[in-house]
Amino acid sequence: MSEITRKPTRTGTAMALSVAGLTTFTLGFTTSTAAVGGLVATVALAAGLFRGSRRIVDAAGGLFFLSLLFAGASGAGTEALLLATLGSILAWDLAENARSVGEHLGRETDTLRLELVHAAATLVVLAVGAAVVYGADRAAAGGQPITAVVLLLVGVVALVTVVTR
Amino acid sequence: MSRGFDTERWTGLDGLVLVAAAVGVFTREPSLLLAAGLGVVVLGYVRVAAIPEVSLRIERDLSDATPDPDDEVEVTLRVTNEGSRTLFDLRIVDGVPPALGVADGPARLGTALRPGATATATYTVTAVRGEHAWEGTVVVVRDPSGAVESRETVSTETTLRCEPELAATADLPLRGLTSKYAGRVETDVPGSGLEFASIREYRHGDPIRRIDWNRRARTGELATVVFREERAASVVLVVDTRPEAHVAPDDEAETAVERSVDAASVAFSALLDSGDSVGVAAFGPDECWLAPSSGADHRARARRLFATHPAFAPTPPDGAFFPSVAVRRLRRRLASDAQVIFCSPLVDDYGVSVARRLEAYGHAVTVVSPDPTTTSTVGARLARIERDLRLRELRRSGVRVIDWGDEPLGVALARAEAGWSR
Amino acid sequence: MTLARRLFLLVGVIATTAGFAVIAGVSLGLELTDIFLGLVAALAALQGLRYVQRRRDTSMNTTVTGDPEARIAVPIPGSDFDDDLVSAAGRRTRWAARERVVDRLEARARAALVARGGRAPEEAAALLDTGGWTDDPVAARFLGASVSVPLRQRVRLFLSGKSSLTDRAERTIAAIERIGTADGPAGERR
Repeated sequence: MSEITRKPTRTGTAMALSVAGLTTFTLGFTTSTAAVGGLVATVALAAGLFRGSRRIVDAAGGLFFLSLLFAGASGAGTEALLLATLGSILAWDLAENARSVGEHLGRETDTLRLELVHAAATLVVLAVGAAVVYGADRAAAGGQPITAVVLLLVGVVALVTVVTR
Repeated sequence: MSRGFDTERWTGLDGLVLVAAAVGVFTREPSLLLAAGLGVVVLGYVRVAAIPEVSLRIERDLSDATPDPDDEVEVTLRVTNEGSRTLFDLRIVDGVPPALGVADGPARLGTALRPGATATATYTVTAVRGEHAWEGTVVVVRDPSGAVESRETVSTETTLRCEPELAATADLPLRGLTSKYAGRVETDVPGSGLEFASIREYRHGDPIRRIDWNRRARTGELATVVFREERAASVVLVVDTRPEAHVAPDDEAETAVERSVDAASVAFSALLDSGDSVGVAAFGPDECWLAPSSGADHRARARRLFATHPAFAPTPPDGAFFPSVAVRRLRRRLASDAQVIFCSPLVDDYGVSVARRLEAYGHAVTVVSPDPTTTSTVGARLARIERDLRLRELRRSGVRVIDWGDEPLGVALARAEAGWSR
Repeated sequence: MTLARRLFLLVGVIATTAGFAVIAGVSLGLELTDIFLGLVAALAALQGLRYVQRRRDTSMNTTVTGDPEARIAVPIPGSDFDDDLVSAAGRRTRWAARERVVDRLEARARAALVARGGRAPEEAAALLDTGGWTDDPVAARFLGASVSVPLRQRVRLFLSGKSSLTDRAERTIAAIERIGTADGPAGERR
């Protein structure tokens, strides 16, 4: 061998596409348009991983986001949407990481442990985050007054601005 | 935050969070706000991302530090996390010496490493002549989210030294290379050798034991027997190491310089064995000169020189080079009757002019030319024609040329010898 | 932390706390109209899109790893000629490179006619002028002979797409290769 194959790793590709498939499945519980969007996003993600293109992987992430927006706007259930959001972020993260590892180490290197640890870390953060958000929502069961929603939005905008580097 | 740099991997997520929240407010859908909330959690995770102090111990083991050429050497790279924190994302690329090719397994490692834990990567390199030092190992560390990355180079000294024995291959028909003038040179200078040359009139001062007493008895004249002068030949092997000579038919093949050095080292040993006084010179930016001599010490010096002198390295040199100065210097060093064996791929006209100039100065020149040409591109086919024309030009001007293709050197020599004796 | 950041942090914390307070049932006596809601949403969306746009403008920072596994790459003989062919296709370097290509091929053809075809130098020059050195009209024309390529052959060349400089150079090289061998008009050795 003379040069490594600088393509997204097989481990990462398999994990990312599995998660994307599950996300599409979850979107199926919202609206059919969102489900189709998820399917298109999954195909785009596969294409991006096949080509090893960062832009296509990002575009797939964008498609997932639009599907989520559409599902949310058309009144999707909280649980399904939260789960689909978790899945979308995880799928993009795994795909992007597979691309990065492939670029650095190639397909020939054994990177199973590296990618499993990365996947586990992201999954734990997302799961804990989802649980917290869902818990807050349940605690305020009975419908949030719109005043609270807007105040929270203003708070989120301000905090994101602070947090953004 | 002091260590590493921002990869910009998550850039834009903040925007998506805001858009999701905005659409949620606009459509009065709380579920979108929850999704945005999850996004904020991820943003927080990315924000706190940091890389702990990286403290790694890197060790490298060779299965054989002094292999023979073409031996496969197994390299074991051991990486130990000596820091107090877990490294979640560790990517390592070893600094394999540029002249060595990896035969099996990438020289890379990707893993997560707990404090005190060790990860191992093994790969195999194919040994080639020379002294090869490993370069720094590139260590890339990322935080678990991938938002921050750091890169550093850790150097661990490892050297692989490959010094082929200078034993002449027994079946090498070097007579073709040497019969005409190498080995013992029988000069036309009358003198005190062993072979009878002529008889001339006695001159005052001739040694008494050289007087032809038979003739004196027969005719009464005093005459002196003259023998042919005989001297050991001095042969200098000149290797073309100019940047132009660093060419190869493909990425995997030996370069022309490597083959030239091969040819020179084989010829060196054979000529030394047949009693000649042999020297070595490099014609290139890196100066190298070993004056003609003989003996076991000289052989050992040459062996080391071929293996480790930077001039003979398989990697192209990058110093400035003034070929006409080098020719002049070479000429000054060559004894007037020294013969030259010039090892050059002859892929440019200058190689030809060096051979012709040395020949014109009265040195018997033999060119041993490894053929690096191929037919894979249009230019390569032209280069093959051009080299063929150069070989013809040299032969026409009386320089002996050995065109060494893919066959073993011995076969090329035998063929050339057959051509000369015709 | 800049002043603006501190301000944003303050607003963020107050608004979030107030939001949770309202959720918890504390009345703060705030009334919000649809217009205000729409305005806030539009602002957030606008800022959001700006942030998203930023991703397209930033490139990822990451380490680029080399290829230490490969032996150092050395050129193959003749790569300079291939480079010339490439720059002869480029816009700015076209003419000089083209001239180098033709000059070099012409010199080699002449040398080959002398060394391999057994011609005298003047004879070789004349053959190059007339194109009589080869039976390939494309090669002959490429080295300056005013030989006409038969129309049928020209059409065929055009249709096969093999009329680029590289293709013509390749045919010329093939013609030079044939010099001195049995299958060329200059092949008869003396």
